[in-house]
Amino acid sequence: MPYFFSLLRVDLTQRKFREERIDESMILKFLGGRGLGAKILFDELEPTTDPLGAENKLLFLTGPLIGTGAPWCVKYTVVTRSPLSGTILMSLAGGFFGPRLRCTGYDGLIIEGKSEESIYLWIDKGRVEFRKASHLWGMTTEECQEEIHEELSEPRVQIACIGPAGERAVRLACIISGRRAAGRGGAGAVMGSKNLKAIAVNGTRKVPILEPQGFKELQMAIRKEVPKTDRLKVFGKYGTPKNLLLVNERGIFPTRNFQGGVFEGIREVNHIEQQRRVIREVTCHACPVACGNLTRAAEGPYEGITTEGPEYETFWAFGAQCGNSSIDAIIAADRMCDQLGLDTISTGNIIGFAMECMERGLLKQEELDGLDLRFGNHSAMVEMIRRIGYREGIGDILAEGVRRAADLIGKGSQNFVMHVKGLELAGYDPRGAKGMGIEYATSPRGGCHERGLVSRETFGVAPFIDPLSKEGKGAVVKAVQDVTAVLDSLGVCVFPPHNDGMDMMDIAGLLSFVLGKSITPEELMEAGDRIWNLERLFNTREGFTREDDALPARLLKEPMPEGPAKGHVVELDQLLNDYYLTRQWDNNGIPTPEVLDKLGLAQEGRSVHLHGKGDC
Amino acid sequence: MDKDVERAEEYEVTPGTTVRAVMELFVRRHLACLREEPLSGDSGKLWETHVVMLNGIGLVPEKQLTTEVKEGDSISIFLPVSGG
Repeated sequence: MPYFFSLLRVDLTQRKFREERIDESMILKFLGGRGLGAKILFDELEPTTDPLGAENKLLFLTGPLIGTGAPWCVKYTVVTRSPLSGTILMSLAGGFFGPRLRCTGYDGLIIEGKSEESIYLWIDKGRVEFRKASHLWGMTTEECQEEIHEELSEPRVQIACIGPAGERAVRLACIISGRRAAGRGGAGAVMGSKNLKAIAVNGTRKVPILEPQGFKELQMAIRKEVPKTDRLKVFGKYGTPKNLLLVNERGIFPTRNFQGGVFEGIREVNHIEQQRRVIREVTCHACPVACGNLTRAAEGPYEGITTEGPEYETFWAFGAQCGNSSIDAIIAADRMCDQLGLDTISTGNIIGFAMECMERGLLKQEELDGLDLRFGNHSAMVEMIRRIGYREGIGDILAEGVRRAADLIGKGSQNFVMHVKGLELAGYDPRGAKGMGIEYATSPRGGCHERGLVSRETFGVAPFIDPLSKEGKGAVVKAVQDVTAVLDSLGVCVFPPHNDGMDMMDIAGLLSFVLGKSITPEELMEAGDRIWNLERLFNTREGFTREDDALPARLLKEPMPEGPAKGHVVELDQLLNDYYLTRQWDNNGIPTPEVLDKLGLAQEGRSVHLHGKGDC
Repeated sequence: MDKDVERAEEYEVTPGTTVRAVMELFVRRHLACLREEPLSGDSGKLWETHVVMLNGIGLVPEKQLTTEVKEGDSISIFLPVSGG
């Protein structure tokens, strides 16, 4: 019997659902998760659909390796149109929700419409319950999950939910499952706009593996190598915060809203200081590395506050970006974001922006309801998170995202607003890592580091490249973007493959055993290229062009004032020319018919007509 | 290094001393300790596995052999894990 996917389409308006089958040919072309989501959204969503309207769709998708027990095959992907950037949005989360969803017998969900009243979904194979959520509305993500656990009396149930931020359509709102976030781009706001507070799943079925013996042997062989792999062991102990010191040393650690690249407070905010506060390691499903850490604040007003993380990006966002060197305040900020359902990167970026506005006199203390939002004032920073989550006072403006907030504040604040296509930038300064400039500019969801993190530049991972050089960066970025598209679409955590944990041959092998047919690494890479191009077509259809592959003026015009990248700006035009050429896109950043034909996307290409840019 | 904040230390060097020479001094001083770490291997040849930077700028192994240090320079050694 050929392999297939089963998706559950849920209409919240009519309270109806039906099962749909995705054929093997689609899985071979788009793999699953992110790639399959791009295909579905491209086919089904009308251009310029309001991201916060009932017509937008919200997809929760897994991939063919999820739930198989293979190491690091864990992530689910939320795909929708972003209320922050107006682009296609793919947002991934680890933990346990993805495997538990897939083991319901549904490989993914397509959520449509809008419920009249607040509800949550309770899903297992053959059963979809639309349950009242009025008693959950207003709850934090932790309270909500506890309440549903109690209500369903199912200890193994996994829940994805929104917090108060998603309920209020805060455009930075994320979706939380357990303590993991599908963080970026405002998927939580889309969920809130549908009056959908949560989705609970409790699948326990086996997922299909057509050649189980070969699969078992290969995944055991991969696991066996883990204890022998130094980089994995170190990553497992410290997780992403291990790179705080390294990135700062390389002078690309954005400080005070990207005014500098070296943070003087790094001695208080790093993985060693975190380790002094770690209570225990935490892990995702089927992971032999366990890079997560449960961390408890040690001192001052935050003493005792516990959070899972913070990860590198959160340490940056509420550390250097806000000029804050209190690690305990960062722990508190992380916790508050998780509780309210806010993306930590965007939230920290925006607060850093507001701090610069205040220091330049563009925001007065009275406009901040008395909050002294100077760089380094961590109590004001933590309070501002709360106000954004609940849209209180100036928080109501910042909740719109940094691009819209700058437009509302005006007074020239647009000159130092750090985003691409409306999505706030993350914790690497591309003035000292030129390939990251391409990644930020071209990532399909806007200013994101994660769809193509050039770790050869940011962390110096071998083989060596000069992070300040422009030469050949188009090919370097394309390669890592295509690999990431493969990993994302299969739901494979990106960290182990980037730390000697497994390679594309292993992944192709696992997939071959699951599907019962030979898949080569080259075919996977072509799928990655195809997915990247399809996402590009989606955005092209929404009216995005080369003009939108822009970087903030600060990165183009203000030379880095310090560190190894001192004097550098991003030479974006030259970098983009090289990148477009490598991708076989035209000078306006649109995929050529030749490349679309080669990737089997000719039909999709022909269907893209010139539409005006949407409201987003 | 893994515990670089704690292990930051100073070396007196004569003119012409290379980055690699300073690294070898460091390794000799800390070899026993490094072997306990899950990150240096038994040889203590950090340059085979680690990112070496002079004042924040990465140096490939060949450059470590030819680049000389001067007063006030800072050498950093990190095991490059990917993820952030």
